[in-house]
Amino acid sequence: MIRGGRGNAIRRTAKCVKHFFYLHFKSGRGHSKYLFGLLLVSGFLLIVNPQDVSGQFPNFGEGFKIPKIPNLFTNKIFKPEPQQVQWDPTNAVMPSLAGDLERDRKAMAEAPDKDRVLWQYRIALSQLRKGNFGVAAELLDDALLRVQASYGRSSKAGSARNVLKKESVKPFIGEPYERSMANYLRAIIYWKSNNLESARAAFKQAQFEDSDPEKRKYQSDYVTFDYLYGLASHKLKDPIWEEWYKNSLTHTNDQESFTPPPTYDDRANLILFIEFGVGPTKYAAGKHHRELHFTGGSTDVKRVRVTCGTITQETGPYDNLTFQAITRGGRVMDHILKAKSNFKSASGTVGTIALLGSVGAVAAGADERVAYGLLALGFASKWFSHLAKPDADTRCWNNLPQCLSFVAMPAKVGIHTLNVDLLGENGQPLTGRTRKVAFEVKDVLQDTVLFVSELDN
Amino acid sequence: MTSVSLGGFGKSGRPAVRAESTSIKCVDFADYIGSSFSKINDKFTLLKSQSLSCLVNQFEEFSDLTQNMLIHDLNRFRNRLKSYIPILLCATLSMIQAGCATDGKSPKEVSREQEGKGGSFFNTRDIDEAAAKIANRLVETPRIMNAKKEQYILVDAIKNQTRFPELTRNDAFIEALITELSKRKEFSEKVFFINRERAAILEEERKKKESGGVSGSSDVDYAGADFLLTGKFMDTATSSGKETQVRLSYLYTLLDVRRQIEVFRDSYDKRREGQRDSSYR
Repeated sequence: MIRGGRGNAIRRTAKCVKHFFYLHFKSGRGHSKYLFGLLLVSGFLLIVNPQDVSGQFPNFGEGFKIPKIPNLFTNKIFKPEPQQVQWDPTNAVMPSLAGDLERDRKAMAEAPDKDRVLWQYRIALSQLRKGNFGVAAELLDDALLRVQASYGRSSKAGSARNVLKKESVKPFIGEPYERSMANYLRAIIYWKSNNLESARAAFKQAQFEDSDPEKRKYQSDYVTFDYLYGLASHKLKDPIWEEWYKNSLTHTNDQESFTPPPTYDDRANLILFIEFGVGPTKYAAGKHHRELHFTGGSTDVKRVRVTCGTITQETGPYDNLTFQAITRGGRVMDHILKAKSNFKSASGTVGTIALLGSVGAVAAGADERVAYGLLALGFASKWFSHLAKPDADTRCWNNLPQCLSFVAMPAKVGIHTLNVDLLGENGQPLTGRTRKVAFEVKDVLQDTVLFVSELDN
Repeated sequence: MTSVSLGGFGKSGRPAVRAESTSIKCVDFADYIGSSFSKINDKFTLLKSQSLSCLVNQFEEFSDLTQNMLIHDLNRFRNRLKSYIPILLCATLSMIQAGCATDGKSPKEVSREQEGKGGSFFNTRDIDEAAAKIANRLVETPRIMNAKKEQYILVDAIKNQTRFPELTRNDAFIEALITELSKRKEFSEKVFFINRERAAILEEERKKKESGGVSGSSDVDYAGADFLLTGKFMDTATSSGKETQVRLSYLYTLLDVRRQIEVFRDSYDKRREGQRDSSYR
């Protein structure tokens, strides 16, 4: 007598399946129970473990690791993958800086060597905001030396092209906007030490780092770098300044409220570098996280007002780093990652077909060696699919500002206090965000360089 | 068929023996074991002979069957593989595409004959080479070497129009040039470089001498420059997306200060090309 109910239905189905396999295996030639076991395992992997292995497993706390089981749902037959995967913070965010030099240095020493340059960038900027120009110079010099050394054959960089390795295995040197910023900060430090020749060389290098975007119209289009190269040349009485100043006026960077930079003031000896807003960060999206995308930075600051004694100057942002990050366009590495992703999909599909084929072979009563062969092929293919790592490298310099600005004004010898007001939409100073800087001008003929940031760390 | 099960010892201390399909109720344990073993032995001998003959037959059947099935299976497997060929091809091509991406190339010097390819990156050796080249030119200048009295050269700050801040960091080039010239005896005995970097300290020292604070004469006879050596670093850099090509030039001029004429003008070029690994491009 057959009774209703879900439990009975499951039991009946299980019994039918068992009987079905029993009948087939009874007429087989040995080892059928092992084959049955393997099929059960593959069924488990297909059905019970549907999450994408390229994603992150949930975090159960330190010391607890979930064994990585290959995902068999890597093709479109069973579960189409979402085309847009949201930002994955576990993959994107670097450990935040402590703000304390010793602790940050210790963290840098413990970090993998491939991330050294990234740590140096971040700590240098953090220290620059605290006024430690010497420490920042030391860190940036080493970082830029490593960036220069990235030219040439490198097995570490080459391993990022390996299908079975992530892009992030390569030593970090940064995207062009990050390398530009490293050179820009170094230039500020050169200026601070009154080495204008080296400062303008570093500005030129910063601009050069932006010389290879996908679209030529975005080539070397930082206003700040051209303008400051011109200013440094102007101070060095090098007639080349005029050409660079004119260049700076040709870039608008698609900013709505862009104000062209002013002409050079011969009397200006107070050089003020200003930055505000939270800069862009990276995330991986697309199929198998193979595409590199940027989260747009943000700021509610529209303009900046600088007051020193009786002199007041107002300026807008000259450069927007999110704009610079996203106008780089496609990379050669994107094609490599796409190829990796295709391999992952194709091998996954082959694996799925082979596994299903092995099940079909058993069901159809074919020779179990065929089933074994297909099963082995399926597992091997699935395993290779699991091992393929098309993820884009999302390590990023995450304490960069959103906007760069600049003011030069005359200042007499003596101790001064400078007010930097960040202005909102209607030109009103944003409450509680005024920066006050005390400084001393020792020599009118020598520039006094200040670095003012809205960000603390 | 007789099946026997031994149930352990009973309450009376005798072994409890149960037998099915036989008339045995209660026998001595030793007798029972002996007879059972002899029966089992007979049965086993019979089974062995049956099994051997059966196995031989089965093996013959099996070998024929295996041969046929192997051919059949291989044909089926080959046919199935054909349907996978596009997918396998796609996977292989993907691997090839990923693997074919190029390595980087270290910045290397190119000869004059290869100038069409152009390109150069800054190397600290360039500073030494440029300094040596200028030193050679100065030593070969008759106007300086044939002069009857000491000659004084003032080195102007080097202009750096390149993108390499290292060229002008810590006056690296001027230091290298003066060191290079100091090595040439015939030059260093006759020609001197004016150093005004420490002018403030020297002036302070002179004042101390003048006031009697320290010993020594306070008389001064500051040397004036007979020649002015000026220099400029320039570069032309292009990036084609794949390769970066740089031409680094150093232009230098020696001026006669009194007559304000150029004694000589020369240049020194370096070209290099380099390429980052494609994973960075």
